[in-house]
Amino acid sequence: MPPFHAPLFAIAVAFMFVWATAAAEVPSPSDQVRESMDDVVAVLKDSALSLEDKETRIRALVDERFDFQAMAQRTLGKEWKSTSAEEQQRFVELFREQLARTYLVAITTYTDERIDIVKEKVKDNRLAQVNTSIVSTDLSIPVDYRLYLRDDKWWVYDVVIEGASLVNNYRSSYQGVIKKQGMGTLLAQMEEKLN
Amino acid sequence: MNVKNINLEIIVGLFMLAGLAAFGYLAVQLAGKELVGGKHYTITARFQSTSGLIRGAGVELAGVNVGTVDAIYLDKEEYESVVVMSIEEGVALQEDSIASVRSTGLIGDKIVSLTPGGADEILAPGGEIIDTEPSVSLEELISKYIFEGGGD
Repeated sequence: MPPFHAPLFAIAVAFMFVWATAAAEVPSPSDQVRESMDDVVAVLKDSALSLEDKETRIRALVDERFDFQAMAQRTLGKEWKSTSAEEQQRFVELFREQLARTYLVAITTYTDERIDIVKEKVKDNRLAQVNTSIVSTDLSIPVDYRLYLRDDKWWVYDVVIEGASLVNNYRSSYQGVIKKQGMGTLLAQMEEKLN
Repeated sequence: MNVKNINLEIIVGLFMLAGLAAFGYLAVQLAGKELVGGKHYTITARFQSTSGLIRGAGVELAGVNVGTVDAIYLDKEEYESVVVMSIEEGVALQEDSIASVRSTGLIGDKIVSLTPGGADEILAPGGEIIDTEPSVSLEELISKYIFEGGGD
């Protein structure tokens, strides 16, 4: 029998353990996104729920996956730091409501569209992009989610629809208003738009 | 040849040189290139598509030229376009800056347009802009309209 090299064997096993745990460390962003999307679709399909119930549940589900503060902060860019804590909070709330109003309309128009996960990319074990496609009989819309990892959970910080970034879109319009007319005016404009 | 003629010829010669220098300066200015290269640092960005973007294209921030596209190549594993840019030293890019391939007009030249972010972390030389928007191709939009309808 060939001689058994105990030290070499120990090193090999230790190496395998390290390698295995390193590979298993980062949870899959696709899995988490898939889970959230399935939950939302389940609510959309539940005909027993009233529109109001659907909206409440979907808002709760979205809050569990979208980091609206991170999104809002990114749209303000440098202006975020020069905004008071109180205005920051109000901005995040208004921003969230703005998005909710725009996208919750889809609840009423949902007709069994399918959502496919097309691709996943993870960078530096902390950033990810999950490319999805909303598919109906006559069209497919590419919707990509940009996520960051926090405590083993992936949070969305930007949504890219048909190649257009949501954060970038609001960045230009919001920062323009802030620079010319100040944060107060922007908040007032956002409030007015919602009422 | 008397002295007066030599002087005249020297003056004419100097005028010629001045004229040529002015012309050269004008040509370089019109081309948009710097006569004396300022210091630059390298930043990369990956795009789903950079259709229409070419080497030498401008990089703009707030509509101001801050750099140039040095190279564009295909990542053969991810099938993404990788763009290598030179950015002027002194123009700091936050980690959450967004790079987009935009046209200078409706059908003008493509450039890389940067919108600054607000993160504390600044990209180091050789760093990568993570968040990008691909080039929009007019033909793709038309094709989408043809095959997928004009929407509801």
